[in-house]
This record gives sequence, structure tokens and C-alpha cells, in this order.
Amino acid sequence: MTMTDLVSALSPTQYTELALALFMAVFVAVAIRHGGKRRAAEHAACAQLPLEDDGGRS
Amino acid sequence: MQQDKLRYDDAITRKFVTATIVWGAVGMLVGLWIALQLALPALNIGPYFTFGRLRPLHTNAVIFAFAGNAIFAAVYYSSQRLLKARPIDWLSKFHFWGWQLIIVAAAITLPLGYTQGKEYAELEWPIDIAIAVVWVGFAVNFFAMVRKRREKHLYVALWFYIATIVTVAILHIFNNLVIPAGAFKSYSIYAGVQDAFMQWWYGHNAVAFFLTTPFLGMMYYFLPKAAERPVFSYRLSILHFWSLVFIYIWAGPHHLHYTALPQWASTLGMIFSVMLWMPSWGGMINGLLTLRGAWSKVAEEPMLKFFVVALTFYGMSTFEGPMLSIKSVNALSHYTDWNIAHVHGGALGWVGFMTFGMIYWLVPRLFQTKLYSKKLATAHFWTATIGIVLYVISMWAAGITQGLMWRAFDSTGRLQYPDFLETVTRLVPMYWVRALGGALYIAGMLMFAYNVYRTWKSRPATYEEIEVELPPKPEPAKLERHAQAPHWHRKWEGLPAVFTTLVILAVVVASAFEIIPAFAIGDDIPKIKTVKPYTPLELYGRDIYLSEGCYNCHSQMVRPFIDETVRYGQGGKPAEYSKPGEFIYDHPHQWGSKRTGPDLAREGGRRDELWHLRHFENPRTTSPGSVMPEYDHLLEDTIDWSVIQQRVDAMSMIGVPYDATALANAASLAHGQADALATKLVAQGGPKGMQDKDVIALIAYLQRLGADIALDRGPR
Repeated sequence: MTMTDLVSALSPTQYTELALALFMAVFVAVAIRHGGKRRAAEHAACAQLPLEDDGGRS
Repeated sequence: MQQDKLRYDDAITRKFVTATIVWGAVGMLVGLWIALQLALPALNIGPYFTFGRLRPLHTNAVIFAFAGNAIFAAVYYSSQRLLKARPIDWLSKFHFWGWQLIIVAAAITLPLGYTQGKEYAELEWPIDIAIAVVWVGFAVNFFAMVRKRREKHLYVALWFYIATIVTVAILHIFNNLVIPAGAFKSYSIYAGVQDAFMQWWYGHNAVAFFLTTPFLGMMYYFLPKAAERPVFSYRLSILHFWSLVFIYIWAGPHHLHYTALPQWASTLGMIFSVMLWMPSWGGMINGLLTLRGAWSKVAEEPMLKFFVVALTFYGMSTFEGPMLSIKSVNALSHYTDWNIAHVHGGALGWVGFMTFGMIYWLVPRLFQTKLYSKKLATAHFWTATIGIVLYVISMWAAGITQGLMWRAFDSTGRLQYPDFLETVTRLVPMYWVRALGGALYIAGMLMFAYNVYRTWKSRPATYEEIEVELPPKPEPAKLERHAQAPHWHRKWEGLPAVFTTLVILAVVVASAFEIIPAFAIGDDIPKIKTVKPYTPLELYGRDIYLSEGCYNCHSQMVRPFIDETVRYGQGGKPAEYSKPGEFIYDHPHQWGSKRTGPDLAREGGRRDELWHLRHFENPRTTSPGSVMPEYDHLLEDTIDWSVIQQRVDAMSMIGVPYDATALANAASLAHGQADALATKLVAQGGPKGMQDKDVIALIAYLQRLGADIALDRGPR
């Protein structure tokens, strides 16, 4: 089966369902990776970046 | 180990801040002018300063000049500090002066009537090319900073900037693909449904990636600075970013509900728009909670007041947007002033107040002195806030009133307000309230400009150059932040090329999922055998329609609603609702987004030529109470016969099937039709000598609208 066969076999509705599933999967993956408390310290360090960027001036 | 030092280039930020204020004042004053024109049509000064020509000037000025310069100021200031790198000086200057020249070119060409006729993408092709070149210069400058940075981690504000830079480039290029038909004339390569689809893919995402993501970047940098505390949840900012990038790009078709766009695309746009609500509110909550424990500062610092209200308006707009995208709500709201209320809640509240907050924070630092007057800044805040409230409430009232009036039937089953004009004159008091709100907002803007000017006046004789010691240039592997095994997202952030590629991928994949099926149906759009290309004269007339910006007030789309088919019907028969096959030669489409005047899709044959001529000469003579500008210059200006062949040839190049006669003798065909129409005008009691005037071409075009489908009453 070629890519052309696959793409042309999909109806517009199936395209959008596929895209929705794909994007939901990415969202869930990002949420899981960043949802726990394991990375709290690392996130806290990142959040400080704007406050320490002017060589002591604010 | 070498200890390097870095001098920030704050001169470029000063330049962009100044441009933001100057163009902001100009753009908003033009906005006030056109708001007043709707209440007092005498303020239209033809031919250059009519509503149709000034409205694009207003939108372009506030979006690309005011918001654009504010974005660049934010990016240059914050990126240098977050990346510990200086931009390339000559490229920064090229970017600044190039952008200002583009704005000047827009300010000259739009009143002159040079336009592509696509909302928010009106500028003609030479200026579009200049925008692309300057934007690439900006991108190169930004990514050069990223490349030579001394801070490994890319802070979340920078992700939003990256998304802005790459997505705006993609949107701008693909929506503006045109065939030139002269130095300042072109035709979109897309037609009808596909052009509408591309236009609102662009239009919606211009809101997303020009008026939202860069301002979120601004929020994630300047709000923590102003509040002197870190963002509430960095984790939430990660979710906020990826959710917006993935979801926003899909939502464009919600601008085209109940039009000739396929149902699946429309529904998809609605679903993704509703999904946008949550990440948007996640961002708003993240911003507001950043002020946890610092609310006492909000009472003291005007800049924090601006940030808080900006975030509140962000929340309101991102709730209202998904709500308006729901089809049943959209059926009422679309084409009304409700959209204007929605847009201005976001523009004045979110974009405007974020910009004011940022500049109030920046100005003492850029000019190395104290802000001239906190009291004046507080007065600015309250004046502008009251202005927005008046603006938005009056337009909500106007929109809902007009939407309900359009669809009202009386007890006998007839339209309760069959005269469209009645649904316009009812709104005039609300237009006055809107103008008052806008005037207050501008009064605040002038206080702001004065405050900044006085602060600048008290600057030191020479600016102290801010120099910071850079951290030693370490081996990436030895970076303390990355000493512990970084997980995958941190790795991406440390690899800007990969990160940027992923952002592009998210945007392109989402776009492709919508655009490919929309274009694949091209050959399947039900053809209507009676729909033919415009004649050369009608095409020239259509160009006048674009040039005068008629699409700013008139739609060309009868939706499949009983009140619309009845309202736009003729001879007691309801009109056909608009079909995709009617628009296959419309480069670009003219479906419009607002009905200050009635829909024109079925205008052909509704009235005689003389009515149209008198209407253009002075709309109040045929339609008492009309707020339309006078177009008496169309009765004076002569048709430029020499460009007609060139325009027909350009349309032919993009696939419009003109026959051999039109391809060889377009001008003489146009002459013939103009003569026939002018004779008809005289027979109707009109003036002589109109056969070479612009008005004849425009009347020819209007009389053609809907005429083809009227011939197609039989089975297809």
C-alpha cells in the first residue's frame, strides 16, 4: 500500500478524527510528563530565569 | 576560564517603544474616526478617507504597527536577557526601519485604494514581499541570539516568540500567494471556498500568533519582573504553550459557519475552538496567580493594574471566542457588531493593556530615570478601562439587537423588519456610545504618550550602557542545570533547532489536516453550469468594489436560514442560499465578515441601474438614514481601459476560462458592455456620458451578483 492509497482512502471526517487522536495523545503525553511533582525543583529553577537576568538589576 | 561581558542593546528597544506609541496613537485615532463615520456619515471624505478605505488602515495600523512594534520591543528586550546574547546591530536597524517603511507604505496605499481585498491581508504584493524580507531579517536576528546564547535553557517566553516567528511566516506566505496584474494590483491564486478557507486560516491564526502568543511571551517575562516573583506554575506554562500551538491552528473555519464551506470543516473549527477555552484559561490563571502574595503591589503600581486587567480581558475574550464559535450562537452573532465587541475586548483589553503595562515597566529602565507621573498612569488606567467597558457593552447591545432584528418574523409570518436600513438606524445611538468609549481610550493613550515623553525628557545626558558578566562558556554537558539527566522536554529546549522544528511540525501538520481535504475537494465542488467568469467590465467593476473596501460593510453570502432567503429574495420568492459553485471564479472571495449594509449576493437585477447610480452619488437620496459614504467620485473618475486586458490575462493565468475573444479584445468587450449600460441609464432618466465612468463598471458588477444562479433554476 502506498502513501497515496492511504491518503486517498481517508474521508475528510476520518482525517479529522485521526488528527484529533494524534493531538490528544501528544497532549496527554506532555501532561503526564509534566504533571507529577518529580520535576518541581527543575521547574522552579526555570521559573527564576527572568528574575536573575539583568546582572542584579531589576 | 575566560570571563566575557555583554552589553545589552537597549537602543533598539527604545526605538520600537517609540514607534509603538506613535503608531498606536495614529491607528487608534483612525479607529475613532471610522467609529464616528458610522454615526455621522458626513465624516466620510471621499475618495481617500471613506470608511471602506480607512477601516483596513485602522486594522493594519493597530495590529501590525501598534501591536507589531510592541512585540518587537518585548522580544529584543527580554530575549537579550534571557539568552545572554546581543542581537546583530545592523540587522536590528534593518528590522526597525524596514518595518516602519512598510507601515508608511500601508498608510499611503490603503487610502489610495490599493488592496488585495482580503481582511487583515490587504497590502498589495510588493509590500507583502517587503514584509516577508523584513520578517526573515527579524527571524535571523532572533535565531542568531539563540545560537550564541550563554543560557542553555530556553525560558517559556522564548518558546512563544519562536512559535510567533515561524507561524506568522507560514501564514503570511501562503495566504498571500497571488498573481500580479500590475504594480499594485494582484489576484489571489485561490478562489471562492478555498480562498475563504485560506483567508480565515490566516485571519484566525494572525489573532493567535500575532496578537496572542507573543503577548503571552510578554506576559511570562514582564509580569514576573513587575511582580518580582516567578511565574506561578512553570509546569502549567508548558501545557499552556503546547496546547495553544496544537489547537489554535485548527480553529479558523469557525469564521465561516453556515457559509458555502463544507460542514465538516466548519464543525472541526467549532470543536477545536471550544477546546481552546481550557488552555487559554490555564494561561490566564497562571498569570493571575503569579501575583499571589503581591496583590498589595497592584494597588500601588499602575503597570500591575494594566497587567491584571489585561489578563482578565484575555480570560473574557478566550471564553467569548469559543462561545461565539458554537454554531447556534454564531448564527445570531455573525455579521453583527457582537464580533466587533469581541475583537475589541481582546485588542483594547488584552493587547493594549499588556503593551501599556510593559512600557510603563520598561520606560524608567530604558530612559534610566523615574517615571514622570504614577498618578497620570493611574488616570490613564481608569480612563481607558471605562472606555473599554463603554465600547464593549455598546457593541454587544448593537450586535444582539441587530441579530435579533434580522431574524424576527411577525405573527403573519412576514419579516418584522424587512427594510435592512431599519436594523442599522436602530444601532446609531450605540455607535455614539462606542465612539465615546473609543475617545476615552484614546484620551488615555495620549496621557500615556505624554507621560512617556516627560519621562524621556528627564533622561540622563548619556545613557549608561548596561553591561553584565556572562557566565563562563561551559561545555554543554557540564551545565549545572543539565548535570542531572535531563528529560526529553528539557533536551528539546536546549536544542532550539529541534524545538523550532517541532513547533513548525505542529503548525504544518494541523494546517495540512484541514487544508489538504479542503483543496482535494476542488474538483468535486458542485459546478453550476450557468456560472460563468465575469466579463472584462464586470471584473474591472469588481476591482473597484475591492478598492473601495465594500467588503468591510457588505457580505456576499446568503446563509441557509429562512430569514435570509426571505430577506434577499426577489418578486416575493425566497432567494437561493449561496452555493460553493457560485464562487469558483472569485479571486479573492468577497464573503465579508460584517453587515453594516445588506448582503449583496443576490443584488443583481434587484434594482435598476439608475437607482445604483443615484445611490452611489448620495446614498441618502435613495435610502434615507443610510450610513454609507457618498461615492460621487465614481461618477467623475474614468475607466482605465488600458489595464483591462492585463487583468483578464492574469485571471486566465490562474485558471479562469476566458474565451479567445476576451483574451484578445477584453477592452473592446468592456467598451461594448459599458455603452449598452450607459444607454440603459439614459433610458431610465439618468445622466448622459456615463459610458467611460467607473460607476458603470461597478454597476455592471453589482448587476451580475447572483444573476448566474438565477438562470439555473432547472435541474443540474
